[in-house]
Amino acid sequence: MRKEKFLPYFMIIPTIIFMLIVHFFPMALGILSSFFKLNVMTIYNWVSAPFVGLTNYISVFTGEYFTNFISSFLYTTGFVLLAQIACYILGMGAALLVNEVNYPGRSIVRGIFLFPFILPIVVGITNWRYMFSFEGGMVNNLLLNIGIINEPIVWLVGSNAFFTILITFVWLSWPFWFIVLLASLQTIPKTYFEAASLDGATPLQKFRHIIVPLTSPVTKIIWLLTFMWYFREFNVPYVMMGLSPSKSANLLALHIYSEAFRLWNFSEGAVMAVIMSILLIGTLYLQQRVRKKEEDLLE
Amino acid sequence: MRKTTIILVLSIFILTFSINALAADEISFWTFGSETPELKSVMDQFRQEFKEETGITVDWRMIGWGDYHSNNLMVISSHEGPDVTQIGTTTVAQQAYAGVFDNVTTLFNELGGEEVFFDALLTTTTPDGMEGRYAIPWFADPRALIYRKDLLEKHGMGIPETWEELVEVSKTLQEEENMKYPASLPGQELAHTIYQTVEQAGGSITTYEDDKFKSNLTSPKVKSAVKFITDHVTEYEIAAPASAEYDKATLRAKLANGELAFMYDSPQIYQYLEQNAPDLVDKIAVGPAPAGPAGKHSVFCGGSQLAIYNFTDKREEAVQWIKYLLRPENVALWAKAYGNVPGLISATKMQGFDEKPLADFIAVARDHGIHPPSNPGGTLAKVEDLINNQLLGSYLEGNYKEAMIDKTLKEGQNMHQKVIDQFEF
Repeated sequence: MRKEKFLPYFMIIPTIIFMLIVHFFPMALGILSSFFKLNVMTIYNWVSAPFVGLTNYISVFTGEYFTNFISSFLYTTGFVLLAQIACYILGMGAALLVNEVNYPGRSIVRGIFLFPFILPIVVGITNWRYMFSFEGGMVNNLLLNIGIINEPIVWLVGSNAFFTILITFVWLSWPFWFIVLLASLQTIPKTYFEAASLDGATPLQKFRHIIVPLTSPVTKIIWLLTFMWYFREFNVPYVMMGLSPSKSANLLALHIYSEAFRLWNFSEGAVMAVIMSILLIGTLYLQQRVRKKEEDLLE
Repeated sequence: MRKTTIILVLSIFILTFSINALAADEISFWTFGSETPELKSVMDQFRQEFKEETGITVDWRMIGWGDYHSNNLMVISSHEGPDVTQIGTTTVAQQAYAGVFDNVTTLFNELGGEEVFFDALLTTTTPDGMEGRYAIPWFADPRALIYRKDLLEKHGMGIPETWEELVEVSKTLQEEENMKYPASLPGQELAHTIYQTVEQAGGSITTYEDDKFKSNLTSPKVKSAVKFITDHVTEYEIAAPASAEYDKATLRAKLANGELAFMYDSPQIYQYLEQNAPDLVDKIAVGPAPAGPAGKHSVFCGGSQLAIYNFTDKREEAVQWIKYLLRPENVALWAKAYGNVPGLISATKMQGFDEKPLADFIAVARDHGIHPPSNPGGTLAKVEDLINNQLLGSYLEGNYKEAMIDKTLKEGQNMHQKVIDQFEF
């Protein structure tokens, strides 16, 4: 009887050990690193690296470190919000197209929508890099041919780089929203739409009064999850532009990586990672608080 | 059953470690670059011959240049890595200061000493402030001025000797040959251009003051060099505004297409043109970069050297391998396959290196070869990208101002100094 009582705990021990090794231990080391002087000379004997207290934090919060960190943070925040909005619009639009309209080849269309999701990420990003090339890139060729621009645009350097990585990222990410929103749409009883049609509701009214409220629990969860995921985005700017992109494309995760592993400022990189984690956790906490308040109000 | 399970688990454990450990008569060797079939064939030949002579197996890895810095960092931070490594000339100092390279003075002298190696490669074998040699020159990667001699001769012009002449000649080609942008800047790979332009201006990217190395990026001479680079686009309009996006591959394609009259490149340009624009091979010539205000020409002489990591326990075998690789015929064969120039002078008489056009390249590199300082500030880290993004990039957006050069160099100097300050002596 006693054995049975403790059996579940024994069974999750391997998972706990795995989580400790893969998640908590590195996280703890990362936080600890932020209080020590870790650079190329001390990294090998890191256990005996000098303890510097809050010096690294002061360093990151002053001068160019701070300016660059804030710049990267603001661009990343803009990137995340715009990506979420664009993915929602595309995902919901595609989900409605597939769900509501019955036409031949619907399943083929669904498959095509999922294509960016199944393509290897680096392949997709590299293709977009070539498409955005100044000379010979498909994007410039298309815009020139249809007369939207008279001169090619430089997409990979300067402030345009922000939109380049945003477009690429949205293309890679929107199928996830499509799948989840489609699943959510399919749980709405058809009788609601029939009743609304009988009452003379327009498609926009149905969307506003049926689809949005009934998909909102799922939408909120996706917003929450994607906020965290997108804030940590590294692949797109790194593959497209390397370790030193223009400021507008220097997303926070890439900035931290570059600071730590290219300039060898491991401590400052750890500090920025800690700050980023605190900001993310804080944002999630606030979002949860708001959500709980809404639920309490509904009750 | 329980006993069997324990034995099985232990066996798997032991087997895993056995597979991962190298045999006693095996060493590991890293090189960097693209593993072309030619390079693989040459290295396989070396490994086979070496094994037949000595019984030692060489476990070879070719790592892309994109992973160069991260692999070096991994070795510094873990003291685990190959026994012998190829190392770029600009990073020997940092690795030596980080304390991971063996002092190879004895080996260097056994191989013939200073007289047998390419002069421009020697400075980086002994980092500033250190005694002895920490790397052995292997091959040189000189970046000379490649120019369309046919176009210049057509208009009665010779190779530009000064910055002003470069601008003048470029303008003539723009008018007479309808060449939109005859000069070139590899915005995505600006480091070497900065090194040699600073040299032409008579400057240096670091100084040594008060027993410390200091970044010198805000000095007037470095500023004049950076200004001349950006003026290619912003002032003289002899290089394309989109230069910020260009890399060497793009510029090679442009040269092959007849869109460029000037670019800086290594002997690999000949291989490229032979494959892509064979009719241009006889139309180009090689020379040093034009002299700047200091009256100095320059040919940036990068390259690669061989070093032994001091945590190896196969030192004797590592020395034997380096001696094998440094045989003149082997240096020549590898340099030819790599598309560069042997670091050993005697090897330049083999494999066609004593014939045109490679002989011209070697002569120019020997006469004007320069290399950035051999100290922790010898690499610009990300400063070149800062210059590209903030100066050339801002020009693309129509908000470039000359005052931005000071601001960018100040920011770059701070970044550069932080890297330098990490290394203690």
